[in-house]
Amino acid sequence: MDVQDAIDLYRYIAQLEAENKALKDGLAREREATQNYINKTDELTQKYEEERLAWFELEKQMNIELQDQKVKTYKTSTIALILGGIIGAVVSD
Amino acid sequence: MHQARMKLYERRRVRGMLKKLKTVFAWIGGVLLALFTYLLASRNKTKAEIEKTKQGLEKAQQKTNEANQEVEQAEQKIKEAQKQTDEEVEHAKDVEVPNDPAAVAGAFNDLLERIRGKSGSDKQQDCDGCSGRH
Repeated sequence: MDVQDAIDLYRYIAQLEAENKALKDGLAREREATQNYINKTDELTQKYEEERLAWFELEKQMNIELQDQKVKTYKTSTIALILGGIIGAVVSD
Repeated sequence: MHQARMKLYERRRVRGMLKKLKTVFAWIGGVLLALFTYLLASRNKTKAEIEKTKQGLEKAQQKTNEANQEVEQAEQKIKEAQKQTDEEVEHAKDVEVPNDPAAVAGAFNDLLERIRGKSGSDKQQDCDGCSGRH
């Protein structure tokens, strides 16, 4: 092995070392970024669930109002019928 | 005489009728008033609840959008990290190596020391001076 071989070998080793370090650093960075992504995705899922519940609540409220309107209509009709009957009875008396 | 009596009787009948009508209309008015008050109160209550729920929904949607943006940002960060790793690995090949034989020999010795130091520390703790040659 002459001097040039030694230089080439050293270059190769130094390159491998630098590449190894860069890959380790990159792996740590990407792991951190991926963990952050997972956390954010979990949060998003939670927010979607909250939004779904809010939609469900709105639907419930609207159904309640619809039911209430129906009841009111029935009440008004019944009262109008009773009043009409009373007035009719009084007038015909 | 009979006519006067009939008139009086008629007047009393009309008065009685009017009194009855007044009572009936008073009842109708009372019932209507109560009914309208009830309708008004209950309508306001229902509307307020729907508005409140809508506001809650809008808040939830806003939060979802924010979370969505954060996820997109996190995704972008991953891509940036990948790009940075690729660049650093690419630049890792641009190492400076000495051409002088003595300097190369010195670098090799440093390298050997480092390697032995690492393996020595892996194999034997608190070993000083042996350079891992056990």
